[in-house]
Amino acid sequence: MRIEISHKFVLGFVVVVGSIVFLDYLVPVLGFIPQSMQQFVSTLGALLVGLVFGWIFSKAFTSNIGILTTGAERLSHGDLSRTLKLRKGLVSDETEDLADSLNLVVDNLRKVVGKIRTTSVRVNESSQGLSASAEEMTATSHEVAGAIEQISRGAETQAEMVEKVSRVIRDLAGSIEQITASSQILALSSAETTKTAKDGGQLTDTALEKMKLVLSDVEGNSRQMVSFSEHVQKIGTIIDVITGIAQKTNLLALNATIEAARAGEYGQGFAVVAEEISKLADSTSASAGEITRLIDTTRDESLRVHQSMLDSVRAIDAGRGAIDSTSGVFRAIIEKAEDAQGKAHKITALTEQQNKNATEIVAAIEEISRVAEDNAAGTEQVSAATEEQSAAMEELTYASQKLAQLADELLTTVSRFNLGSDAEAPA
Amino acid sequence: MTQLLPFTLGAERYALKLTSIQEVVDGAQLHYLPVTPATFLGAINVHGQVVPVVDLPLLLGFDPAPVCQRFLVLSPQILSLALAVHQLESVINVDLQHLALMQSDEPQNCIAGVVHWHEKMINLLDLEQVGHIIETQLK
Repeated sequence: MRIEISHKFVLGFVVVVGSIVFLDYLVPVLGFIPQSMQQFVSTLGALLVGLVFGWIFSKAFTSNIGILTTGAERLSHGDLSRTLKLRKGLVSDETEDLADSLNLVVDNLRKVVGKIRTTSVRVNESSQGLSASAEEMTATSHEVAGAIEQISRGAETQAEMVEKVSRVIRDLAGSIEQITASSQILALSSAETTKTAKDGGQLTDTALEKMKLVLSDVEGNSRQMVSFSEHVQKIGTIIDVITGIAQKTNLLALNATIEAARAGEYGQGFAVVAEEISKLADSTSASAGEITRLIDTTRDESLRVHQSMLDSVRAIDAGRGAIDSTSGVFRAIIEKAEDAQGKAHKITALTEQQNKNATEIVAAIEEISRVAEDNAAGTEQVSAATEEQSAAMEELTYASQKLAQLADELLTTVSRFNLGSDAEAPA
Repeated sequence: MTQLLPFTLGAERYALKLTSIQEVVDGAQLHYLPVTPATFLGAINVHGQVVPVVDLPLLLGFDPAPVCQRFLVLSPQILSLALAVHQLESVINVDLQHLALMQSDEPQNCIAGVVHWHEKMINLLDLEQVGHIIETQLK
């Protein structure tokens, strides 16, 4: 049952006044109290009732106020660990409301402080993490800056290389054009070679025919020469006979001369004849010797001619073999030249293809060059952005350190509040 | 004028008078004579007469005569002998008034005298000495 304090005061007064009135009526009724004493007893009774009520009432009132005061003082010191508990009376009043309100305040404060503490711890941790992350990011962005610088340098080198490659490819394209021209000339040359070799083959065939004719002529001549040699041999035999006759004649003339000399005067005419015969024999002998020498010379000559004819026959045979070989060589040349012609045509086609490819490569290289320039520009932009990012990261680090500091300060501030054991370890 | 038949012995030129020669034979069959000195080449048949053949160059100390079938058959009145020589030459006519006679203090050189003929020096063979030498060898 709830009675407000003002009502309690009114009710007290009513009870005290009512007890005085009621005792006035009650005492006479009782009968054992003398008349003279009746007034006094009723007054005393009324005072007693007043005292009892007043004491109970004030006692209840002051004890609640004291509890509330103590609670308010604890609150002012930041002790939020305990709630207020009033002594339970028969009837409740505004002190209980006040105690409930204070408890609500304490409860709310506890929640708020706990929340603040938890949050500030988390903020601290987060800002430390943030700071670490920001430092890592700063380091990373420095690395990125270094890498970008390398990329930038690489891009410059790449641009130079691309330029060099471009030059080389242009030179190559020029060379390929020259090769194309050369291979066309080669194709023409090999066609001419084929034609010449065919002409050469026909010429060697003709030469072979003529050589066969010459060979048969030479063989005929050789036979004639052998026959001639035999004739000369016969003449030599005859001359030998003549020489023998001349020698015999000479000897006869000598013996005739000797006979004439032995005959003395009578042999003189005979001696003259013998001398003439001797001279004739000498002349015959000399002529025969001349003929013999001529025959020897002729024989030597004919032997030489025969030998040279044999040599000629051998040479012609060898020549025929050589011409046969030459003919084969010409056929091989024709084959090779035709092959070379085909290859030269292929080379021409290939070099034309290469030329086209080289042109495409030049275009591609130019594209690469443009891309490399774009890359260089892009890396410069990235480099600038990285520097900005790096600066921002450093600011972020500073700010997160500041935040951590603030969170620390906040934690210090809220640590004045004592939340009791159940609230000391917030999650 | 005297007719001489010159012949060579090595590098030297010798000669005989035609009158001391019977004839020159050619192609005669040479028969070996056993137990004779090396200067005797053999014997030939001259018209039925057997005539010994002497190697004159070997006899006079020259190189031996070549294997030749032509021999000088001497007159039998002088020496019944045939001589093999190196080379026969043509008959010449000389005036023996110009014959330079050799000194008699060297009887073994077989040279009767020396004839100058056309810038050449021809030794006239001394057949008597030759005969002496052969006789000496045969003893």
